[in-house]
Parts: sequence; structure tokens; C-alpha cells
Amino acid sequence: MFSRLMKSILTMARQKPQQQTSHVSEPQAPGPLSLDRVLDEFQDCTDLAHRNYPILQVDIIYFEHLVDKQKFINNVIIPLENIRQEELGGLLRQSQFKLEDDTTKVVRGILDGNAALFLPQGIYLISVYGPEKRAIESSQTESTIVGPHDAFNESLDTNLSIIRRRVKSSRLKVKQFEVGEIFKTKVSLLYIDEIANMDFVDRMSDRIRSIEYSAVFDGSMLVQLIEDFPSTIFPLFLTSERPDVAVSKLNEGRVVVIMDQSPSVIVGPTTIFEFFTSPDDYYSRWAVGTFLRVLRYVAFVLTLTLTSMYVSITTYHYEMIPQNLLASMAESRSRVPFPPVLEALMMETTLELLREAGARLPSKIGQTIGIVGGIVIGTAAVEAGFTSNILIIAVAMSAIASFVIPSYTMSGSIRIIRFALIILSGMLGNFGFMFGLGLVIIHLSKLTSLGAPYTLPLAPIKPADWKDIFFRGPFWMFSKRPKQSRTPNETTNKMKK
Amino acid sequence: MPRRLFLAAALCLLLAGCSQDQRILERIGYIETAAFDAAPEDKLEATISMPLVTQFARDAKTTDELLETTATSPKEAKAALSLRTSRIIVSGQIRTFMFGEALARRGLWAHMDTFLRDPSISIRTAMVVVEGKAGEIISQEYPRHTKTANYINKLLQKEFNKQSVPRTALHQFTRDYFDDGMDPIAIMIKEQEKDITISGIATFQGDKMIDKLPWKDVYLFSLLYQNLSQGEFNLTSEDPDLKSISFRAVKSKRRIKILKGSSGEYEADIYLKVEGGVEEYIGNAKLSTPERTKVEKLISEQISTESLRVIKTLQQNHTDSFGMGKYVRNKMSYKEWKETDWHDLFSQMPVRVHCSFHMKQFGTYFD
Amino acid sequence: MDREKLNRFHIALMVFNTQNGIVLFTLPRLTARYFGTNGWLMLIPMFLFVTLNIMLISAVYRMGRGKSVFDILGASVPRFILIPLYVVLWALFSMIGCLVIRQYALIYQMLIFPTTSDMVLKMFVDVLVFLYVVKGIYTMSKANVIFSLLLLIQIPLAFFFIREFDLARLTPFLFQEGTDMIEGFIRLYGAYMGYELCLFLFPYAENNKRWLKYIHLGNGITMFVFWLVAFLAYGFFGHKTLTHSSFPILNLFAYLRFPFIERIQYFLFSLYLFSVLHTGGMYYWSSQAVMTQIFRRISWKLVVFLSMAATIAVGMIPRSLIEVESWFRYLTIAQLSFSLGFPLLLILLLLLQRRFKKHA
Repeated sequence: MFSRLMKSILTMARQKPQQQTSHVSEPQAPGPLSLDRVLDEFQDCTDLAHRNYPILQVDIIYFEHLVDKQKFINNVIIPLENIRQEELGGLLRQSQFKLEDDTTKVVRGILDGNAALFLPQGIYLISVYGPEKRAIESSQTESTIVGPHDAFNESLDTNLSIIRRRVKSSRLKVKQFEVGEIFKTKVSLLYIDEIANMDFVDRMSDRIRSIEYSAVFDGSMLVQLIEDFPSTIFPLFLTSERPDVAVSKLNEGRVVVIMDQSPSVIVGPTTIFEFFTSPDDYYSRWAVGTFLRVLRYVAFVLTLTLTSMYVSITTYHYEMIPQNLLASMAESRSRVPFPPVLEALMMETTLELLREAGARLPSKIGQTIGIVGGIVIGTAAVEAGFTSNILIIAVAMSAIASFVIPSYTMSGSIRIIRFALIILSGMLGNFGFMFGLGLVIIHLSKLTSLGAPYTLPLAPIKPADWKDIFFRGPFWMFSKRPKQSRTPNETTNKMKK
Repeated sequence: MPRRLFLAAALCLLLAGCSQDQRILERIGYIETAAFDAAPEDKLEATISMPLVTQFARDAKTTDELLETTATSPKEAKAALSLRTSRIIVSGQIRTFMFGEALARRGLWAHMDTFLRDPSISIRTAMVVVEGKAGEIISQEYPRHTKTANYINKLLQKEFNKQSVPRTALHQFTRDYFDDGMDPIAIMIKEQEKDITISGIATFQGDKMIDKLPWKDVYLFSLLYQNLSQGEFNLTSEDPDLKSISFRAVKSKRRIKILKGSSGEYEADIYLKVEGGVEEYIGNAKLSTPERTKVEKLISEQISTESLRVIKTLQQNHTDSFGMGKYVRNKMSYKEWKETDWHDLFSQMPVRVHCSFHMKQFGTYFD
Repeated sequence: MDREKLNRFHIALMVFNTQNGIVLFTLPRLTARYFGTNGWLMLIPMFLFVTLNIMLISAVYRMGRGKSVFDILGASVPRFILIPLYVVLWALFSMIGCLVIRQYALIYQMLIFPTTSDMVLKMFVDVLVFLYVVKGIYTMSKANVIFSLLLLIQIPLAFFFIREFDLARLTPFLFQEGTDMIEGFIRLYGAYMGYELCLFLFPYAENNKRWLKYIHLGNGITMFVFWLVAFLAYGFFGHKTLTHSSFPILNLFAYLRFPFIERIQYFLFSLYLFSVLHTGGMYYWSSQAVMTQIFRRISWKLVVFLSMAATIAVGMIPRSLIEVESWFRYLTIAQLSFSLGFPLLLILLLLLQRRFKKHA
């Protein structure tokens, strides 16, 4: 219901801006195809290069910074310089030259890094695209210790190539889309035929097509435009910079969306539990992988509950403190002038400030922030009687635990929930805590990702999938693809034909 | 959706205004130990001890806040005492209830209502009978030990966990009080010069203390009372082969078998299966040789005769402190059980104790 | 939105969680008080009774070939008769839903918030229940899986009580010293109540008959949990102590101690919010299902809201726990007659319809 509503809103929004923006990219009036028309389009674009060969009656238009110099010289300049006008027809019959008769397409071609050759007999485009791009590096945010270290970069071609290198099959299909009225960002949708459920492919395609937003800069931004529930705080699609993640998800029958100019790819449908998995789990032995995964769930519980439990217990449920802890807790609380809720909120906010400050600063200054923060919070705040040291431990533990969660977006969502739980615990103790938890569970159960339940192997309950969600079973257990992808080919190694 | 969530959040914030029930840790005075003594006219003298944190204590020393009053009931005492302290008195962290012997002999149940009614009082709270006055013990400072209330708590917890005495918490006390096939017990402590010592076990009939089992009989009582998994005990005797022996890691199994005689009288056989490792042995036998069996046999006999003596005392007092009634009850029909006066029957019941002792190891000394 | 069919196993958990509730905390006392020694054994006949009743409900499903109960009723009973019936059912379900929540709020108030108004606590649960119910039965079933797992995960705690458990304490006597058996059966039935709401799930369940077995599974889980709790309590406290303990299970939990936390009953009792949430939610959902048959044009979410608003007012009347319990008693009797009478009525109608069809 919601996705329908969202779509209708989006289509309503689409109709208006279309009328306004249409004159930018389309010619004002249909006229004869000519160099002047094209030059007119690119008026005031001083970065446009225009070369003229009067003898050959050839005009070449291109963007110098979009083309590969070497390619341009080899494919365009050298042939043209060594040729007579009669031979020109023969040259242009070569396959790299494409005859184009639509002005819009010519303009688009030039913008895509083609050189346009204007001749009396027609306009030819030759692809010499080759802008500067970042090399394939390892990911900063999703680094692993073992396993492949290459990560996606901002170039769609490179990213597609990285994936093609891994999936040597004609079944890997790529659909192309464009997003943004002016920006025309290329978006590719990848899926493996016969493994991916076409419902998801179609649904994803529809959503990408119906995006109405002038400019999308990153995959994580794209995610927010195609989600089932735009207002939820949980990320409904997994984003990753790692090709091995993308490929493994393709193999599970999921759909991968790659956007040009963005290193993060989108995977869908996703369950909430996938945000707690890391490629490391699969590269370690299964027992170690299981341990890591369980550790992450423990971290999840800790980061969610620890501070709010402290607040709830010190405010309402003093009975729950064991005898041995009681003295030290009472001791440390006795100097603090604020109620536990305020104390906890203050500390959590400080920690968020530190984290945010550290995230923006270059790593060298970031270290300083860490030291200053550590000393100021860890020691001075306690000595000044601002907070109790037990709380410091709780806050620090839950902060560390929140960094254990591999997905940055997910850990952000969890942090927000943590704040809410702290406030609720301060108001009504354990009751408030459970109230908050109940809200979260009800909300989670409602969520879907591409129409597939978000909490999948747990609710709806599918114990067969738990081997790869709550544990990392040995690989012989992975004979079936996960239920969520509703794949037509359940068994991993044999394709039905 | 967001509107609904927002509404819910707003509602919560509105409702949160009323929270007078906060018990913020540093603003409460949690009673650690409460002591009750008999006072004239059926009243009781209540003494409570609440730990003070260093921050508020004088001379930066952690001490206990001690308050004392006379009242008809524990909660009345609490009301009177709360007028004298700067903190809210709460009972959720009480670890020990101490009762003076005089009060225990007068009967405890009349004062115990609130212990079961107040949900914040833990059923794990230890029940202790003090030889002499309970209030005096916790008001006393024992400079050789930690703070008195803490000292007593830790002492008791340690002994309970070591299983050298049966655990006598509020739960066990009320459970046995209500059970008609068993009588409650409570651990006894007393002041001994500069220390506090566990002195024995108070045996009750109903809620009235009848007698005290001395300390040297407590381990025998423990064997009769429960299955031990980690107890320890010492034995001494006149026999030259068994002057003194001590065991650790004692494991015991108790089995009570009730026989119904032809003329309708009941007899009890108590089978004790005990095993343990020797820690110390003073005697003539060599434990590494087959003489060991002789020592084992001596010990078995010693345990049997001694525990029979303990049972005899209990029978004389009409107190079924280790719950033989539960087993007799299992042999009877409901009508018969209701018609018998169990305490009378118990006092006349022939009881035999059969003990088999097994020495698991005899330590690192080989003789 | 609710086109998706309810998973069989979800139905089992829904049945379990609707039956399970605050009553678990009083169950050992109820059995001890009304049935006397070894009262926990009475759980089994009650279980069998409920099983028979579920079979009756299954028979309705089988005979009606999965038709919704409202369709069966509407096919042969005129609407002016149905409307008062529906109103009565609506009132019954809404009141049960309301009182379940109220009871929880009152106990919570007794435990931790002695001076906070219990209405405040109830409002919180109400908000949650409302949000829960308006998500629709399919989402409810999914959320309930998580709730049920959170509750069932406590079962291993039973191992901690083995040490203090004594079989001899159970006594060999059967049902001695009980007070009122009939009263006990009514209260005990109140514990098992909740399975009958399956009647309204017909249109949402899978189209095959296999899911009917899962109602029994849900009932079986309930039985197991009830039995475990009652049996443990009998061996842990003894029958006489149980009769004097308002909430034996709270005391049972209170005995547990962990190195980092004590008295976990405060936490676990809060966890039972989820059970109450589902129980209340299911009753409100059923009341809504009935009421929308009368007012077909009003959005069902509004009906839920209005039902809750209406019952809040009525729910204010009983001021104390004991009053709520006595109200519950009457509602339980009403519900008992519903869960026996309603399926019988439906079967009768179905038989009539079948004969009518044959003649026609």
C-alpha cells in the first residue's frame, strides 16, 4: 500500500518539473541537423573543443577532458591528417564511426565523451571516452583482513568490469537506466538470469524509472529514493563498496544496482540480518565465522541496551543490582548532581560529538580528538563529579559495540534507537525500555524490502536460512539459496534448465 | 506513519510527567541488614543498618548508618526510622534478617508478614538467629573486619555457598513453615570476643525456636538435610586409628526410606552415601594401604552413631528439621496424614542411619 | 495488504501467545488454591478439553471449506438477528482485551510504580496495542514470532531451579485441600483462553487444512509452558506456600541470581508486556473483525480506535486487581460459552445449508 502511495506521489511530482526542464535538453525547434545547431546548444561552454579541417570540410567537436588524448590522436587526428577527401568515405565506413542524425543524440554523444565529426554527408560519432579516474583501491569503510581487497570506484565501466571479471556467464544481465533530469546519471541493474526472481528485477526497474529527483550523487542517496518505506530509520537496502559482496548477493538471487559516479552499489531485497554480516565471516573458518557473527549480535544487544539498562536500573530498579556491584555503583553515582537520564544523555551526546568531529577531520587531527576526548571524558568528567565511572564504561562499551556492526548506515540507525530507549528508560524504567523495544519490533515487522519481508528468516520463520544468518555454517550446508530471494533455482550448484 | 509515530512519542512525553516512583540510587538508603529483638508487650526492637557511601560519610570513611527504634511491626519501625534519615529508606537490598534469640523463641511469624507482602524484599534474604541480642551485634564495630553488616553478609554467603551450613533464606524458611512435613531452621551466629562466628542451627517448630544444634553437629545435620556437592568436615574420635581426620570436596547422597510395620507403626532408614578427599589425617592407619577400608568403616560408623544422636535430639524437641515428614507423608493416605500428629509420631519413630563412606583420594602424602 | 497468507507456524505461535499471558504468573496459585495438592495435574484435563474445542473449530473450517464465519452466518441468518450478536461479541472481545491490559498495568503498578496512576501505564500499553493492531494481522503474526521467541527463550531458566526442586514436596495426595473445583475450572479455562480467536483467522490462513494442526501445536506449547511453570512451582514452593503467594512466578524468578544482575523478575515481568500486547491485540483485532461486519463502510482502523476508546472508559470502573479478576471471571464464562456455542451454531448452520442445497 505504501509503495503505491509513494509512487503516486512521485508521479504527481514528476509531471510539473518535466515541463520546465524539457527545453534544456531538447532542441527548441526541429530544424536541419547542422553544426550550428549543435554549437548553439553548447553556447557558453568554453570547455568545448572545436577543430576544423577546411580541406576535408570536417569539423570535430569534443570535450577535451572527457576524451582519452592518445585514443583521440590515434583514432581521429592521425587518420584525418593522412587522408584525402576521396578516401574519407572509406575511413568513415570503419566500425568505430557511427552515423548519427538526431541532434539530441549527437549532443548526448559529445557529453558522453564522443568526438563528433561534422561532414557534409552526415555527422559521425566516435567514442574516445577516457576521463581521469581513480584507480581500483581497497575500501576504506569495509576493509577486511583476508579476502580480495579491490573495491568499486566511481566509474561505472570499471565497476561493471570488476563484476564481469568474477561472473563469467552470459546469464549475468545488465539493464541500463538514467537518473536525474539534467545529470542523466547512468544506473545499471544487474541480476543473474534464472537465479534472480524477475519480480524483484521488474520492481527494482520500475522504481528506478520512476525516480523523480534532479540529481542523485551516490548509491546511498539512490537507496533512499527507491525504498519501500521512505520514512523508516532502517536502511532497507544493503549498500556495499565490495565487489565480492555484490557478486555473492547476485549468486543468492538478489538484484544489484550500480550507479555511475558512486562506489557504493545497492543490493536488494535485503533482510535486517544482512547488515550484521561481513565478507570476513566467509573467508574465516566456519567456527571462527560463527563466532564473529554471534559476537556482532551480542554487540547489537549491548549497544542497544547497556546504557538504557544503566538508566533504568539506577532510576527505578535498584533491587536488580547485585550486592558486589551496589557499593561501587552507589559510590560513583553519589557525586553526580544529575538524574541518571540526563547524565546518560549528556555522555552519549558527548560521544556522538567526538565521533562526528573525528569523522570529519583528517586522521592526524582525528587522533588528537580521540586523545582529548578520552582524557576529558574518561578522567576529568568523572573527577569533576559530572558522571559516574560506571556510566562511562557503559557508554564506552556501547560505543565500541556500535562500531562492531559492519554497516555504517545500520549502526547510525541503531544509535538513534538507543537514544530513544535511554529516554524511555529514564521515564518508566524497564517498562519504558520494553515499550520502546516493542515499538521497534512492531515497526520492523511492518517493513519490506522490494516487497520481501525485512525480518525474513526470523519472521516469517524460516529455520533453514538460519545457518547463514545467526551462524555461519560450513559451506556444505549452503546448498540452498536463501528464501528471501524467492529464486526459481533453489539449489546452488545445479541450474534447472 | 511518521505522523503516528510522532503522536505516540508526544503522548509518551506528556505522560512522563508523573514519575514519583523513581528510586535513584544515591537518594535511597538501602537497608543492608535488619535486626529485630524482642521488646516488652509483644513489641519489637528494630535496628537497621544502611551503608553510607564515602562521599557522604564523615572522615571519608565508609560507614553504616545505624538506626534503632521500638515498634509493633517492622514497617511501623521503618516509618519511624525514616524520620531520622536524609534518604528514602528502601528494603529492596536487604541481605540479612537477624532475630534475637528471645524473639525467635517467642515466635517470628507475627512479624514476618511484610517480608512476604512487600514485593521488593528478596526471598533470598538470609534468616539468622543471634545468640543474645541481634541489635547489639550490628551496632558493634569489629575493627579486625570489614563493616559489620557487610561482614555478616559475606560470612553467611560464603558459608552457604561452601555448603558447610544449609542455606536458610527467607524462601526456605517460609517454604518449610508452610510445609506440614518439615520444620524450618535458621542459621545462628554469636559474638565471640572480637569476631562474629556461626554458632549452630536454630531448630524451629512452627515459627517458634525450640533448640539450638551446636556447631559441631552442623555438618552431620547438613548430611541429613541435603545432598552435598562440595561440603567439607572434620571428624575426631577416641579411636587410635581415627584421632582426627578432615575432608574436603565432600559429596553426599541422602536417601530416606520409610517402612510401615505390620501393626501400622512407621520406621525410618536413612541411607547416607558420602565420599570425600582427605586433607588431614592423624591416626595410626596407613591410608595408602588396605587399612584404608578400616578407616572408612570407622568413619561410617562414626557418622552413623553421631547423626543418630543428632536425630535423637531433634526427636526429643519434636522438631523435624530435615523434613522426614515429607517422606512419611508419601507413605500415607491423605486421611491418615491429617489424623496423625506428625510431631508426636516423629518423636517416637525408630530411626536407623546407614552410612557408607568412601575415600576418594588421600592427598599428596603417601604412607 | 493482507493477501499474504499466514504461515502455519505463525498461527501456532499466535495461539500460544494469545493464551499465554499474565495468568502464567498466577497459575500455580490458582491451581493450588482451587484444586489443592498436585493441582498442576488439572492442567491436563483442561488441555484435553481445549483440544476437543479446537477440534470443533476445525470441524467448522472443514465443513465450511474455509469460508469465513461471517459468510456462514450471513448466508442463513437475517442481518437484524446478527447485529445484536455481533455487538455482544464485539463488547466481549473488547472488554477482555481491555482487562488483560488493565490487569498487567495494575500488577506493574503494585510492583514498581506504586504512586503512578495505572491508567498511565495502561495508556502506554494501549498505544502499543493500537499501533500493533492497525498494522494488520499479517504484520501482527510476524511481530509475534519475535515476541514469542523472546518469551520462549526463558524456558531454559527452568534449569536453575532443579537444585531447589524436591519431588517429595509434591505430596502423594491428589486434589486435597482445594476449595472450589468449578471455580477453579473457570479460572483455569481463563488461562487457556485465546485459541478460539482462530475462528476469525479462516480467511487469512492457508487454503489447505494442514494449518489446523498448528492450532493444536500452539495449544501444546501453551500446555507445556503452563505445565513446566506449575510443576516447578509445586516442587519449589510446596502446595501450601503457593496458596499464600499472589504471584508465585515472580517469587520464582526472584530466587535467581546472576553475577551481573539480580531479581530478574523486574525485567522478565516487563518482557511479558509482549505477551499482553499480543493477547490484547488479538482480542481487539477480533472485536474489530466482528464490528466491521456491521459498519462495513468505516475504516477498520477507526473501528479499532473506537473500540479501544470505548473500553478505556469501561475499564476504568474496576479499581483494584481483585475487582479486575472478578470481572474476568464473568468474561471467562461468557467466552467459554462463546467458544463452545459459536462453533456449534456454525456447524448447525452449515448442516442446514447443506441440506437446503440438496433439496434445492
